[in-house]
Amino acid sequence: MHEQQSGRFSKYSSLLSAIAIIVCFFLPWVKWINVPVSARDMATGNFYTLSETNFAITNPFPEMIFVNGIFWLIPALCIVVILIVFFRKTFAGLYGAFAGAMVLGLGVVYALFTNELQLFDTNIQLGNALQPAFYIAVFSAIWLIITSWQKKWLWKVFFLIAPLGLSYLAFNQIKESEVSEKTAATSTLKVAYTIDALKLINEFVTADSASNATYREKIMVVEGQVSELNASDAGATLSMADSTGSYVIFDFEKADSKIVQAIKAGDRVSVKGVCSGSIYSDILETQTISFKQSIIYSKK
Amino acid sequence: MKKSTFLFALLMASAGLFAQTKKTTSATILFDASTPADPVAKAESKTVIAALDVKTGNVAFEAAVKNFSFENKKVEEHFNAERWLNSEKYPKFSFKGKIDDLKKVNFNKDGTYTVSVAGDLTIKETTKAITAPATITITAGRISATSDFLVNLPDFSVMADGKKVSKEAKVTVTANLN
Repeated sequence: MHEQQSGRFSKYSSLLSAIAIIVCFFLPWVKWINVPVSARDMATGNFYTLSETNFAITNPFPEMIFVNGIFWLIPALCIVVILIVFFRKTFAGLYGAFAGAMVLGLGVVYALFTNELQLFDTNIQLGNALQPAFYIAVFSAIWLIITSWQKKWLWKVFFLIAPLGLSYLAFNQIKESEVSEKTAATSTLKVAYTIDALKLINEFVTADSASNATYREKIMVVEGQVSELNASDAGATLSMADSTGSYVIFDFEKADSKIVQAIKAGDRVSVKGVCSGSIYSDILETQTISFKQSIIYSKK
Repeated sequence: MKKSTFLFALLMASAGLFAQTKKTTSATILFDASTPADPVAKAESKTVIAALDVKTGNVAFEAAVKNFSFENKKVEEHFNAERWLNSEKYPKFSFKGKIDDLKKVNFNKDGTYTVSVAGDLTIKETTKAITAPATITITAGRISATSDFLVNLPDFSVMADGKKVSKEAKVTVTANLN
């Protein structure tokens, strides 16, 4: 009799857990200062839009954004749990366990990610950032897993621990790969624009805002006559100037220092590099367009 | 004074003024906000504009924020992001100052001179006064100067947690001036 009552309590409390998870799925789990982020944001991919807009953290796998849709399974499985418990009067079983595990896994990711954001804003403290919906969802998920079967304690322990461990490992693996990601060699990058140096300088001098919008961060090949160079084994720069003194300057990759040392002022060269846009120099009273990670593309 | 003599004198004076300011467009800045916990917050730019007036001791430099190179791509993105240097809105940072003890330096004699430079550092349109030691080296009439100083990043609204990114970045400026 007692066991029967306890079983009934488990079933119906899992039903309540499933409802709580569905509601919490659409409510903010964390607040990054004034930016609320719900579990739904992960399912729609909006999570990365928010992280990029506010902290310049982009999706590490943009080509896999559709995979995020898998998190819609959380409310979907919870609906299945409700239907099973309500109509079939039975335990939620694997449906409940999977729904709970997904919530726990996502919770770990939200907590770890939010904790990392202190790097970008020291006002973000994990304790303050986590919202009531996060805690309700996590406790409901734990209860949902516990009440998914009447017994099967080994399965329960597995579904409680596995998502925590897997999410923690996956998060740190992605973080490590991001941190150790080196800037790609310029020789491997696709050229967006090829342009004459004097034409480029003229474009920046006449319309710097528009030119910055067009060229900044683009891979470019610039051809022109060398007006000045500074090269040693430690590094090299090379400039091409117009008659007014405005100039384009290239900061070379260390591997290209030797090649630049062989170039003389007056030579015509093509340089490939990443455009950093322009600044107006108050010291020189000229427009300066700079490039980094440059390599000699060709010498004529 | 005849008009032509006056013009000649004016030209010579202008040339003299020009000659007393030594400039370069390829000074180097090393920016190091790394910590023992995270060694990647280090960058370098070799396209810094710098000037030194050997008569008055006025010194200045300007650096394009976007042209700092990091080994790590993500850290470079963060460096340029809104909460750090916000290079989109504030494309350069600059320093204008003066050598306090210019008399110590004999620009006509080879040697190494240690001086003190005081001035205003402007980052993200916030200007703070700084004083830093600098070393000026004269070799066969060529001037090179180097100075390193600490910049408190939060003073300039640059986010630093003090764990992965040091709140005090070490900035080293090196310039060979002609």
